[in-house]
Amino acid sequence: MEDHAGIAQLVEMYASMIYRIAYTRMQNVADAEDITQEVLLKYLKADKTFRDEEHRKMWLIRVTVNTIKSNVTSAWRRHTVALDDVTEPSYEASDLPVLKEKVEKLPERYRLPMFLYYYEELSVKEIAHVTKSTEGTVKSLLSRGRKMLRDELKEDDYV
Amino acid sequence: MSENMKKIYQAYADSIAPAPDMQERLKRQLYAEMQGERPRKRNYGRGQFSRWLVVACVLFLVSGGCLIYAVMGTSRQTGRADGRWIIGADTGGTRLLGEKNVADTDIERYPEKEKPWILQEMLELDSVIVFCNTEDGSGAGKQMRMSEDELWSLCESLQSATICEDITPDAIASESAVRYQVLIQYKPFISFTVYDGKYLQIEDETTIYKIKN
Repeated sequence: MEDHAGIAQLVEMYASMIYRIAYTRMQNVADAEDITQEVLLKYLKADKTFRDEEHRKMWLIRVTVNTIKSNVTSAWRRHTVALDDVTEPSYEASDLPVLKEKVEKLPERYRLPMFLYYYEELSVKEIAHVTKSTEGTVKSLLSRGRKMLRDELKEDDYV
Repeated sequence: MSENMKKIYQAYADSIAPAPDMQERLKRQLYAEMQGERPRKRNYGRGQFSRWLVVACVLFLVSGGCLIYAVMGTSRQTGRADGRWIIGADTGGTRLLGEKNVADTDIERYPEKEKPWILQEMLELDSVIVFCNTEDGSGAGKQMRMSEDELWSLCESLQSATICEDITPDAIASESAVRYQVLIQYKPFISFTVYDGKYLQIEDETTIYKIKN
C-alpha cells in the first residue's frame, strides 16, 4: 500500500500519460480524468510488485486500455450522449489547432494504436499486448491510420 | 518510425495536456479513497454478507422445492397418477399429516375405495410410528414397533389393494391377524388389520380389501 509520498510520486509520473491515452480514445476531458483516477486507484489497490519501471508503465497502459474499453462498452455510455456532443462547440473548440482536429478525425480504432506508437513509443508487439490483438492487426491499423492522417494533413500542407 | 509523425503526435499530446490542477485533485481524491479503504472494506463485507444471504435464501427455496417434488414423487409412487393426495397437504384444510391437528376421524372423509391409498401415504411419512400387534390362535399377542423395511414392504402390498365385494369380516376364516396401529406424533391416527397377509380391514369397517401378493 502506497503512502502519501508514494501516491504523489505515482500521480506525477503517470497521471498525464494515462490521461492522454484516455483522452485520445474518449475525446472528453471528464471521461479522461475519470479513467485516470480509476486506473490509479486500481494500481493502488492491486498492490503489485513490478520488475522495473518499464514493467510498471506497461501494466498501467494495459489497465488504461482495459478501463477505456469497459467504459466505452458500459450500458450507461451506450445509452447516453456526452454533453459536448449535443451543445455548440465552446470557445476552446474554435481555438483548437487544426492538427488536433485532424488527429481526432481518425476513426476510433486507429487513434489509440497511433498514439501509443508515435507518442508513447511502444513497439508493435507491446501495442498488440496491451490492446489484446495481434501484431499483424496493429501493423495494419498503423499503416492505414498513417495514410489517413497523411491524406488529411496534406490538405493543409502539414506533411 | 517517421519523425514527421512523431512531431505531429508530440504536438497533439501538447494540445491535449491535462488541466494544470488535475494532479493535485487526483492526489487529494486518491488519498481520500485510500483512507476510506477501511469503511469500504466494511461495505464490501456487507456486500458479501448480503450475497451469502441471497445464497442461503436460494438454497432454502431450492430445498423447499426439492421437498415438494419429493413429496409429490412419493405421492406418485403410490400409483396415483393425478397425485391428488399429496402427503402433508390437505384437500379439505384439516389433514396435515405429521402435524398435531390430525383428526382421528379424518379418514372417514374419504371414499371407501381411497382408503388403502391414504393408509399407504400415511405409512410412508417419516413421522409415522406403526405398532404391530400380532395374535396367535390362543389369543396371545405381542406388540412391536415396525421397522422401516417392514413398513415399506407393507406400503408396497397396500398399493395393490382392491375392494372385495363378496367378502365380509365375519366370513374371513383367518389363521393369523396382524393389527396395525398408526400413530402420528404419538397420537393414534388409524388402525387396520391384515388377515393372513391377504385381506385388509380398516378400523372395524365392513369393507374388506384384498391385497395382492
